[in-house]
Amino acid sequence: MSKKVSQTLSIIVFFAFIFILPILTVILPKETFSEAENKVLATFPKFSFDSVISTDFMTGIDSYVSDHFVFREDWIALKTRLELAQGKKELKGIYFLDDRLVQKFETPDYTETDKSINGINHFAQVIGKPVYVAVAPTSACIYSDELPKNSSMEDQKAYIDYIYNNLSEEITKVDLYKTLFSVRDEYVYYRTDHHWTTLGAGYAYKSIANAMGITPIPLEKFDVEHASSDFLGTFYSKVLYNGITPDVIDYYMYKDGSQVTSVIVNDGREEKEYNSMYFREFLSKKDKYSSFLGSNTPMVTVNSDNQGEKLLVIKDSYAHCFVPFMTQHFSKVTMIDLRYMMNPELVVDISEYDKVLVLYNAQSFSEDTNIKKLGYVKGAAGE
Amino acid sequence: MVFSSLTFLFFYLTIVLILYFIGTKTIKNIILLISGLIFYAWGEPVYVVIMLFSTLVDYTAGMFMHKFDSKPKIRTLCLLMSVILNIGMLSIFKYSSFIITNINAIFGTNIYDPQLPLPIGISFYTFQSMSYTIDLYLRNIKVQKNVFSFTAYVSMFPQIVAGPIVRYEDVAKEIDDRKITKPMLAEGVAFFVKGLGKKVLLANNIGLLWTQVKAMDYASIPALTAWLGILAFTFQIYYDFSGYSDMAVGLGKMLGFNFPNNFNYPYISKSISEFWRRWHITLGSWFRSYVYIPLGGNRHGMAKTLRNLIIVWFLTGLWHGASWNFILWGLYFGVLIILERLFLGKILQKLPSFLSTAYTFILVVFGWVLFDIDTLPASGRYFKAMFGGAGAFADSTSWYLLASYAVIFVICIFGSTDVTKKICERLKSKKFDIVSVSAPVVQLLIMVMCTAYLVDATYNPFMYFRF
Repeated sequence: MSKKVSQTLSIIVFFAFIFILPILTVILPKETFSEAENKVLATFPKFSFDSVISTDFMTGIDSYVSDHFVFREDWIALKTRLELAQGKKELKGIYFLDDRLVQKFETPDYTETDKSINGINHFAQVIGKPVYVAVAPTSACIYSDELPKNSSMEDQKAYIDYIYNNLSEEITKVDLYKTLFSVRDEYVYYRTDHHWTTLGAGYAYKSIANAMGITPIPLEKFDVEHASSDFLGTFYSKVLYNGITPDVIDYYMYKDGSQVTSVIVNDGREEKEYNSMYFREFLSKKDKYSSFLGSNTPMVTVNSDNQGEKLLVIKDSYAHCFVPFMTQHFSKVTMIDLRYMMNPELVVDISEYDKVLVLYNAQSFSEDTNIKKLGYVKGAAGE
Repeated sequence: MVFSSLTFLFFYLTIVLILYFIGTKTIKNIILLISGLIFYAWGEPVYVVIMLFSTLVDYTAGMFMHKFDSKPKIRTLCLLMSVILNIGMLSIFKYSSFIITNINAIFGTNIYDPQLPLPIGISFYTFQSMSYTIDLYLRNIKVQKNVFSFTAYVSMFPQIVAGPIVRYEDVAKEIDDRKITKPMLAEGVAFFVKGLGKKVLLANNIGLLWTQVKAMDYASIPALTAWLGILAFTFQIYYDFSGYSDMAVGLGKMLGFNFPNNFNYPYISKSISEFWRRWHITLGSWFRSYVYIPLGGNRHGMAKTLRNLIIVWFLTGLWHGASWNFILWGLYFGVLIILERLFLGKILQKLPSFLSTAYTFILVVFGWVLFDIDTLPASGRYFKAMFGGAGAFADSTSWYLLASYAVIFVICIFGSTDVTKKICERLKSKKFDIVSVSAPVVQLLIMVMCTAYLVDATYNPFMYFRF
């Protein structure tokens, strides 16, 4: 008896499974963007003779099915759990530490790194202004002692040392490793995202300001606003693992100091003016870090009622929560992202600025092949 | 298309099965034919023409043999046509590059190599449809007059791209008249889900370890890493290949066919000869029936037997890919089997079984080094690493890999022995048959886990593109 019942059950379960899931996939509404994964989902491929012959149509269908499969995010989360259950501690380049995710630092391409270094050296030489370089370690570096036993990861600190040793002498290098390592027990890096927290950026501000000969405002004097306490960052998006406490996004405000007068965002097509550095509409979205001066754009300028000098920041996204601190000391802070321009000179009049800060994290410094564009700058000599 | 994809599992299969089950008896073969062509064309939209061509050649050869039943010369001519065309196609698309490169290298010539891409599954379907003309010639089977039924047999989606090599003889009755019963359907589900789990959960998972190790510098990897790597491949290819065969057998049953089993716990074999009776069974038996025995087998003295064995194992190696390392791999087994025939077999029989199993397993593992590392110098370096050539026994990476893959290794080792099967059989004989009762639950669990891995597929290779 039991055998017959179980045979029937087997058949029902199997066919129900392969019938219900595709039906749900077809009838449920489709998203074009996955917020949780932070990725654009595939569109339905175009059917044509050529696309079939080249199999583009078929691979297109495969990715469409995969991207729009019903409960997609739950399946991915389940896979992550199954992988962890096997004792794996590393998934898609993300290490699972006790209370945080960190990104594995892969062996950098030193030829590319050398090009970046040469670019910066050239830049510092031709513009004739003080240049400061700060390469921030990522959380993988600061918490490298907590990596899974026996796992091997490229030494990020050695990489930063390599960069600093090869930058010319006239450039001031800021040792952010020392700064951040000494406060590693504080909340200086997000647990689920690749950025530093506002507090981490605040400590970096202290070091960088000191290097510039500016007296930083003590962090205790700032009012801290917890803008969001359910931030799930880019590491989370990769693995959809909900076993880590979501992150808190803090805004550091100093009401006794300089106040921002305007924020101008140039997205490559047009300029838009805002009256705050905090773009709160992002707080209701997945990408909450972008509430700091928006997502990456070619150029953002912050003007304040401070009467001091002007600062140019050449940067990656680490600068976004860092720049608000600098507005306390400069009348104008402009940050530019080299990924969106061929030559910074075409976008910004460098001669207008008094100091230049190059701020990257080690991971993006090793991956970004745009830093060498600084080598195209002609500076004062070219004018 | 491949079985281990969401498109196949949740769209293609669902639609084909609905149509197939509601279709009448006559229409079922047409559905089988069309669905097979779509399945094949999904990956090979152009080369599907080649498959149809070679199928039609064999069908026509069969019809002519039937028509000129009393004219032996015409019959022989038909067989020759079929064999030459099939082998010719195989040679052009699979071996031309290999042959041309070697001729150019040896004679210093400069013959143009068109570098044709290999049609997926060509080695499987050519062998399948050749079995028809050969068996027809030998009068083992009856002619198939319906061109749709014959094409449906060759292009049937369960086995077209990765076997098992189903001979026409195996399904001659079923292609014209088959029934799908409830126990068959349930068995089909059980086979398919088991195969899917083997491929998606075990093979893909452990295969990730091999891709990591394979990419390392063999001159500097410690012995433990080298062993972990090649053992990972040992299990990857077993679970991938036998998983594929299980899925094919399962799908066959759902469609009303009984395909031959292709794997039977090969890694517990006590000799290399036994291993090859348990590994890719349909290929071994194909070569036996259509090459070894026609050559005279072992009936004409030792010298001819040895010659025949060498030919068969040369061809077996070559079948796996147009490259010297595959030929070497085949000959390696040929030599071992000859040694076992000459004297080693008797010694192995006297050994305690764990020793003969260990002997077989280790030699098979060595074989996989030859099989999966393309060039001889590289596999030489790999062997060296396995025997501690790089100095250290293990480094931190070895321990890290071991810790990351320990669980999956244990499952793989356990699953490749017949221990689970024996336990299940014992439990089944009990009054309360826990195995049968829990089967639907276990199957659902496997399907859920497989779906999770397929939705988030970071590593899901198709391993037989060189076959």
